Amino acid sequence: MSTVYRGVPARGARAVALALAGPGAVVAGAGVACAAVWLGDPTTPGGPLPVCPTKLLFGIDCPGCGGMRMAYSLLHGDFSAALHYNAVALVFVALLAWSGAAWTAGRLRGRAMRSWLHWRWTPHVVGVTFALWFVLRNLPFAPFSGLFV
Amino acid sequence: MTGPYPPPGGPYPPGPYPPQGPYGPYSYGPPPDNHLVWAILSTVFCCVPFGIVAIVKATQVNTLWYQGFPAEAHRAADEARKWAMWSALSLAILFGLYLLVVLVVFLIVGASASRLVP
Repeated sequence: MSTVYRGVPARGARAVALALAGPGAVVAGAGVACAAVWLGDPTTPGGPLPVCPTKLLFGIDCPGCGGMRMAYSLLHGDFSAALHYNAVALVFVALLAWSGAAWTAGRLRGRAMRSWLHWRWTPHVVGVTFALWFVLRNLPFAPFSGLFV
Repeated sequence: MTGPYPPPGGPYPPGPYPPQGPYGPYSYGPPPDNHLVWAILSTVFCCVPFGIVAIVKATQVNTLWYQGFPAEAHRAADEARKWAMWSALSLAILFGLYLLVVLVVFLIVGASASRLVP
């Protein structure tokens, strides 16, 4: 069991630093990834960033395909382009921001906070969403052909 | 912790609660961590079917728990973590192979540069 969940809020610089270590590492990692996407520009083909293996090997879109281009568009403030590249991943960015905030707050409060990740049917909804998204964006006719990126 | 049992799952503090076994009463104890966030991340970012398996396993955690199969729920949670980990690892391996191929191509081009450049 993690030591930050003691039931009392983190007091003192040391306890706060311990509570923020995990979220800080995640934010740092996300920052590095964002910098790589910003510099690599995945929206222009032939860049240094690798193409998704699923797309490379089978020529189909996986549920995560277009995620880097979505992140690139989001970083540049182009919300509609981000929605076009991977709408589901965009929703998950927002959801993960929520659960990340809940995780951080829970670590600071010493008591885990629940978020959408802990709901009863979340795994089922996520699984069905991914499966549907996987199929829909590969359908070769309108209106679904617009989802292929 | 109290009792001869391992501590119950969930990040709840050892407070003034009545002693609670690891597995019951099911309606009160929190289900084990299903590692769903790792399953989602590895599915979205790693593009490999292992992530789907992790999500399916994560799905079974809560279901088994509320049906009254705590040991199986814990096993499903472990499986979910394992599949998510392998999903991430396979991406790391693929990325390593990608870097290797790029490096080899650069080396070949570099070695034959004198012949390519007139």
